Amino acid sequence: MNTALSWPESLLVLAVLLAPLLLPLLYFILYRRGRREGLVAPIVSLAEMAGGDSFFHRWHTGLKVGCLLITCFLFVTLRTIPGCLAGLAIAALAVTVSGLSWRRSLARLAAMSGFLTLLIVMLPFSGVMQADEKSFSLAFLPAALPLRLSGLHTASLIVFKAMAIALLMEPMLATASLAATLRGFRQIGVPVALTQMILLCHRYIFVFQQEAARMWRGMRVRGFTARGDWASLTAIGNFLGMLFVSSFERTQRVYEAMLCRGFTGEMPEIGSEPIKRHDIGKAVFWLILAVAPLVAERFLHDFTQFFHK
Amino acid sequence: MTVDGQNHIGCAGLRFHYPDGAQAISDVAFSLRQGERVALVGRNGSGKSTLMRLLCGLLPCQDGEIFYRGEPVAKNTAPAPLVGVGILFQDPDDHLFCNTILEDVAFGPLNQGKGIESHSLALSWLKKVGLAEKAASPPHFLSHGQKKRAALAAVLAMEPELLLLDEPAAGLDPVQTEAIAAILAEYRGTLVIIDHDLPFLARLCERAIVLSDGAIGHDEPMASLMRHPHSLREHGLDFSFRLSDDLVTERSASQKNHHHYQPRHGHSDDKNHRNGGEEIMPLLELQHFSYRYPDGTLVLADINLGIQAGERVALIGENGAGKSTLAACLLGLRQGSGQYFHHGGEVGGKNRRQLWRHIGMVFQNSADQLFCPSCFEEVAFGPSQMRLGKEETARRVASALAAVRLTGYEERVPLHLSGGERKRLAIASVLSMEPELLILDEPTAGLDPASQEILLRVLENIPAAFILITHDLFFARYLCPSAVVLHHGKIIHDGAHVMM
Amino acid sequence: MPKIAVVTSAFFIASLISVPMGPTSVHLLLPGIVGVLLGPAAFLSIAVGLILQCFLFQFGGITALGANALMMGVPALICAALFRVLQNGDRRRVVWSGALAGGLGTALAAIFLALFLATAGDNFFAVAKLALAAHVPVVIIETLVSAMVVSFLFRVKPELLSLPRREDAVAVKEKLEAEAKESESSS
Repeated sequence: MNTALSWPESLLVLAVLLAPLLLPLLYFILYRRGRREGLVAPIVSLAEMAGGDSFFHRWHTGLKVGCLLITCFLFVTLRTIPGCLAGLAIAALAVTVSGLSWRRSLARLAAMSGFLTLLIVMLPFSGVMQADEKSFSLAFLPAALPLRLSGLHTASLIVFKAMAIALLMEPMLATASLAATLRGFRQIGVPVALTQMILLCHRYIFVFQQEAARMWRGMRVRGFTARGDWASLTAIGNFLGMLFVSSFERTQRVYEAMLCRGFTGEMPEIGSEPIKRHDIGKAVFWLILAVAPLVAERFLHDFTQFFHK
Repeated sequence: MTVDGQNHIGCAGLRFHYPDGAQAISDVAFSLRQGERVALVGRNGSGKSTLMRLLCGLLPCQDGEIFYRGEPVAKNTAPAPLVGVGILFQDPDDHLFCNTILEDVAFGPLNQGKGIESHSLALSWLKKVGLAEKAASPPHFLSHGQKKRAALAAVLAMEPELLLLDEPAAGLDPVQTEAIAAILAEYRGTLVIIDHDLPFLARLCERAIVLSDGAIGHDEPMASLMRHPHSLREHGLDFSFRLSDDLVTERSASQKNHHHYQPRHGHSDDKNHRNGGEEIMPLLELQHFSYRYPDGTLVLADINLGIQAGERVALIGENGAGKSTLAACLLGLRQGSGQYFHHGGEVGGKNRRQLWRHIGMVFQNSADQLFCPSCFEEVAFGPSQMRLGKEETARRVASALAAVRLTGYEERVPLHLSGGERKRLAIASVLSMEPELLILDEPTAGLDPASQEILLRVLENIPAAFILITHDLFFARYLCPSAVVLHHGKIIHDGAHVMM
Repeated sequence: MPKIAVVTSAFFIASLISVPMGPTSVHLLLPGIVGVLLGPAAFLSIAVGLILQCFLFQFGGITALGANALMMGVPALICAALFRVLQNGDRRRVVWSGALAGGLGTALAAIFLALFLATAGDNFFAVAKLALAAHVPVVIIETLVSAMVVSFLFRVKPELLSLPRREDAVAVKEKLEAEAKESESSS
């Protein structure tokens, strides 16, 4: 069943489709108004935010990480739009409760927005049309290219789910120091070697960021502007090559420094986090919250089935 | 060589060569008693760092013997650091690999099995080096001087009996160097320090071992080495005079705020300095110039400075006084408030971005500036950005390389050159743009006196004006007739050098 | 183990650089180059890099981590093997193989992405095709940039490409001359 839409209606539909693009725009307006001075965008260190005091900050990291991870995978299985919206609402609530600035959350959403827009624009217009499927014809598109409602449905599900999961990353990863969060990961079974690598890698990201910034300044001081020509590419290739050489040399030196301070293959760990009763209580509470949309979906499905019979 | 209980560490017949055949150490023998403090000196490339790594156990002992605590050390092929030996490399970022400096300082004790006490031990060491309030900070939030102290704390926390230090005061201003010296003075174990800074070494060490081309040139008490000043430069020891205390105090009211070329001045209607009349237009001029960081910290306050064509000025001040920021503002990399004039025309917006064509800067760490696979390309980079055409570029490259005495180096790889050669290459890469003004940030950092000498000759003959940012007052006085002293972002002296 | 971590940080920073190409700019993905430089360890390096992207807000969600790791990690391994096989120490050959490895790495990553999308349902075919097409400029740029990087590394530090270390041509000449002089004076 095809319904033809008038121009204003079509434009409205188009606006809705392109809505995800608002996210990076919003981010830019709210947070990135200053002109960027360097080649590499400044990376916000996790250390700055770990000192909050909220439901999430005071939760045992292993349980927190485990529960939120489970939540992510639960949300992936949601099937209806109300369910996904509920999941998104829960995620947004989590971010608000955790007291974290929305800057990072918005940045995450903005980073995904390109891909999401792609989906939301392409899915409704592609794929095979079923016989009894509902569709719309937009005023400025040929009739052979209708907007399939089921495509829109699928796309919306994906968009909402992706956004919910992205938002959940914030309370999961940014409400404790990196070391504590990784300890939580270890408690749910992630191998120790991997977490050690992540810690080390995180530290040296900032060192290389500074090195790259200095090299970039050295290039700019001699008049380098990034154009799209061969010479620029050569310069960038050299820049990257130099960065890699420097990193390999530094690796060797860091390894030797670690050896000289007694490193035997494993980073030393002290401090343990005992699980208290309120941690378990929080876990139970959260899991109930997380499962709620799924249960509601099921219930609604059965309910409507019941009524159709 | 006798081995007795008193000897802490020593070696005999030690030889070492690198995989590519370069002979680093040839036949070195000495021994150190417990608690002895030795300065290991020599030219860059004489094998000091290699010897240090051999003593520590990081490099395999290919030939000869190393004795530690009276026993010969077993020969290994893999790095096997000796227990009780602490080593500190030149770059503190190599030692600070955890995400907070508390974790870094606690790393050693934890590996030694000190368990729960490690944290309190780490905290006490951080207090001793004056970094207690930064304990939970990640290392990249610290300044270079603070990182060096943190790295030192990390090594000292393991309470080593033997401490090997590679240029512990490199890149530090006199005040910071003093802090490090004070910490080391309290250390009671055996100490070996590599450095070029004579007063620093004289204060801490009683004995000096001089390496020359991989072999021991002299091994004598510090006092007797200092009695022969003419050979000091040869042996890689420096004359870095300290910034004397008088210079740092605030000057009297008459010279308080306005220090620049025009001795008398008034302000015109638009608040600019009125031209005196016959005076020549300065090449660059800053008037009432200030700069704040994005977070609001005031770095430069009310700077008034004029630079003539061909003038040579030394810019002196403690680390953190704002020298590098001032250089960045002059280059146009940063924009401050106030007036900045170039050839009389105000700099802002568009022509700020073109300043690089007229002003060149050589950074403190030449590695930051060199990124091409051959010297020719490196020096040609600037001219090619100026779109000068092949022939002109080639001509400029040739003359720049000649000016820094690196003719014939066109096809060599910059990374493989020595420190002094790299510094000269960095200067050449800026000279090839034929700037009106050259800013040099700590050009002598990390260079041995032989390289410094060559650098001195090179800089003497440069026609451009230059600003020399340095802690090395001997260098400054030799090259520059006048000096500007910066303290907490303000100019407190501008004029002929004050006698030390 | 710690060695790979430090190098991964450099790759992370490198992937944040936006390379200008005509009117727009592109972010490099670099699976090919990572493979060339690290060999089999590239997979781990990419996994760590992706996890850190997740932490440092670049990346959306952790549920797609596995797919992303495969998408970039497997091409990295393929390109690592390819580079080892193709290059033979000769400069032109090395640069060509490097370029090929770099470009192919990204191309394979894009193909994997398209495949993942396509298997999500035949509704996604068009999206998969578009995703593939969108990566074409990236592939081109990566091929070119990889060529430059490999060329640089060949001249400056061939050990990183697992090639034998080459002495500075001029330094070797000087050494030979010095040795010749010595043998002359001693004879």
